[in-house]
Amino acid sequence: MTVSILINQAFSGLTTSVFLFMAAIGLSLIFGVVRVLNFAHGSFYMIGAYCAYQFSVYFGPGNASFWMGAVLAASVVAFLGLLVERFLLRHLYGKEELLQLLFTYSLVLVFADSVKAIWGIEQVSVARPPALSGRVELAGAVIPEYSLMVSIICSFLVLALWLIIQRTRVGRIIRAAAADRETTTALGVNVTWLNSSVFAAGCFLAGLGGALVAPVTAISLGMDTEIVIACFIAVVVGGMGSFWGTLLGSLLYGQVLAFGILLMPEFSLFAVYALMAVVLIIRPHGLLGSSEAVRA
Amino acid sequence: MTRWRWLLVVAIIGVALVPLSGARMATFLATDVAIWALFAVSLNILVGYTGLVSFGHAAYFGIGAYAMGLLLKNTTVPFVLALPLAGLLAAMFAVLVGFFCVRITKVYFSMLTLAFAQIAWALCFKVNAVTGGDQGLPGIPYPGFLKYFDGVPVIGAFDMGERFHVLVIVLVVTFLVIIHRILGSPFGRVLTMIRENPGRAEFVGVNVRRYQLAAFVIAGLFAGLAGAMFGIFNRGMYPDLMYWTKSAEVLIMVVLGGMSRFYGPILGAFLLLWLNQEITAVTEYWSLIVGLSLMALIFFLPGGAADLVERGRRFLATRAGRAATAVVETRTRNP
Amino acid sequence: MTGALASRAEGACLKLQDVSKSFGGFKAISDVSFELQRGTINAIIGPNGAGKSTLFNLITGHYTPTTGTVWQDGRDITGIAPHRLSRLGIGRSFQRTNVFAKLTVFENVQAALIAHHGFGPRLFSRSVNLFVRETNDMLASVGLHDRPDLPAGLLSYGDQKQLELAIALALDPHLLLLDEPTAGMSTAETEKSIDLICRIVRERGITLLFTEHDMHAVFSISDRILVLHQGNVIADGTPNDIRSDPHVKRTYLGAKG
Repeated sequence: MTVSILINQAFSGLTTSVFLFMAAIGLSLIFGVVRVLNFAHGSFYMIGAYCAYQFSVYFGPGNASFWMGAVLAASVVAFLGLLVERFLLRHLYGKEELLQLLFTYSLVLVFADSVKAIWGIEQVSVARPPALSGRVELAGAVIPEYSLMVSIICSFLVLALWLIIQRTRVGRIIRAAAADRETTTALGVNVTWLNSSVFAAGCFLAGLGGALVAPVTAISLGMDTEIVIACFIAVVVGGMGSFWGTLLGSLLYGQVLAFGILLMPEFSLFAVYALMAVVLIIRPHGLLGSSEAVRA
Repeated sequence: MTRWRWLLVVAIIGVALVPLSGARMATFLATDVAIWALFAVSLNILVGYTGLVSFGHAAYFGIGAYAMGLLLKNTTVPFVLALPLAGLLAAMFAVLVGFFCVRITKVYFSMLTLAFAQIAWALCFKVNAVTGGDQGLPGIPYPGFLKYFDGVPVIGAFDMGERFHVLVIVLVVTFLVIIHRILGSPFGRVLTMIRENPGRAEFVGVNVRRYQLAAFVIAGLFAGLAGAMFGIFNRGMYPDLMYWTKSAEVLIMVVLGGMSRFYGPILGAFLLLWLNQEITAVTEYWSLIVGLSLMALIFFLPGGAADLVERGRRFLATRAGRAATAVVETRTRNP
Repeated sequence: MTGALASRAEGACLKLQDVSKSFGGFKAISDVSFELQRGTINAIIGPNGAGKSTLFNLITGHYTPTTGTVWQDGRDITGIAPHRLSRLGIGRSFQRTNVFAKLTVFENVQAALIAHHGFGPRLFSRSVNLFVRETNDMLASVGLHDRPDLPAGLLSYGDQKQLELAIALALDPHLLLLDEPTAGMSTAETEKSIDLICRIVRERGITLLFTEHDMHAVFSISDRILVLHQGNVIADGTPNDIRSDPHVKRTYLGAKG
């Protein structure tokens, strides 16, 4: 077990975390503000990946076309999310939670078959942008350039999101709505508009995550249900609705998975679920979440 | 009331004797529906009666199936013993999981049930030696004692699969009657109190956690029994059947049929499986149809199919001139 | 089922000694002490935020006091688990109505009786015929006997409060804690409700402790009034004592009195 293997695994875990964070932060944001646990979040992610594939087919290979395609894919997903929220989800606010959850699950089913109808059941793939198809050596470990670039992008994203949430008026409104919905409405904030925007933003991030993960993963049906569980783990472990919590949760997920594969390959999958269970048992509101009425 | 009871008995006998029609698909469907009906009703103990939304109920189903499969394939334990053992194993897992889950509420409760279920799935998926890993456990045999029915009228003419069908019907009906009894008991009444207002229930002397745990274990037990039968019916058991999407499927059955009535999930199981059979024959976009139907249900008929049935009943009652009481229905009375 | 230690303070049904409760830095209740005599009607009054509900929650075990002890019939019940209360003969109603919304009026009371009498663990008998007479009697005494099959959630606010009272009374308490039993009622409803409560409580010899904002109701039936202000008891005595207490007049009764 040399140092370079450890670093490799750590970085592999980091890569997983980075992609997971982009999907999970959208879920966390939506849960914190709109107060819905969106099972379809993984579907938006998947659609982002497939759209990225589609755009790569339209635009052809190349650096600019890749990044442009990614942003476009994310936008398409955001728009889709906006439609869903505006015309469907909105009418369920205030209804039983179970119904809201099942609604989001019905979206999973609808999206899954729609994707199947459009792109078929065969796996598709997207090439990495040519400029980033090489590898880099870092402290004895070999790291793909593309993953490194995505990590950098993700760091900027974290910074940007943090700035927005902490320093801007919009961010303050989001934090207020997450903390106390009723008062926020009473203060004249247009919560309807807020819900739509946050939902769309969350979907944009999910779509972006999917588009960016496209070159390094097998794009196929089943992506949706896999990633959404990972998102749940990240968000639950970190703390629902907590920004840094989601980041922490994603990092933990990545590292636990990576080192799990290294140390106990049979049980690596089990390890992340065990992580989720342990956190829920010991600290149900998550490592960085706030303890509102969680305990029975 | 007795008239309806007789009708029910006749219907059950009818279902048991479906193989006489010679239609293989019908027998297959009937067995499938019976097993899933039990599974769905067991989940409804938690969701509809106690107000606990579990996202991981498929775990107990799966454990029951694996247990039965392993016992019948690898040991000489007869079916008669294997069935309760399988149920017991599932119930034990439910005790472990439930102990932790009832200490937290709402979405966190649901998430923890999901986590534990995925743990169970991951273990079954990976521990190749015992569970066969992702290859699963194929070739689970029919219960041996069914061979001895050769001389029996009617059933003697059935093949093993059909005899098993009759066995399933007998067992499922028995278990459903037991559950119905439990839910109509004082214990069941306490569960509905907990569902409505756990805080208030505490103040009338109910140790809420203890009852929730009991409900959890009972639900897990019957899910395990359903799963045990399924393993044989399916001629094998695979980890897929424990993935969280299966838990979602049975939850859909509960909501589709209606949570507020005992028979709701039975109706839901029938509708979902029957429609599945009919529709997948014509198109491969079954998920799309379920998704859209579920959406429509949520928006237009959140009470599920049972809601329609109850409305029909009340309509007929008023037509028959029986005293139309208050405008509203009472949603928790057991039929 | 009162404790073996009935030796201490005969007549004192409920006793609080130096009870305080802090939430983080905020001291909600400071060193509250009082004793309630058996069979008396006692009221706690005070402005909103004075800590009345918190005090109730401390007595009934929903919160654990930071310091101090709560005694009932000589037995230490500080921080007791809420589900043990009904067996000790303590009944309680809540500020926001707290009924079992989707159960019928009848089932609400019946279910409470089932739980209270320990029938809960019975899995195989039928619940439908249990405690029918007792339930009907109780519904009749609060005036809800004409609507037994209505889902409780559909009752008017005032009627839900009556149902809550019925549930609390069905448990045959020695000590009854009512948190704002007439909140949200009209004057007529309030008067009717207060009369009913007073009559039932006197009939059964129940010790009553209630909080209220309606001063007329409080002064008309109480044997004793405690005035709570910012977590402290600032006055404790008969209605006449309180009426003439200058401190109370200044801080609370002010415009009313």
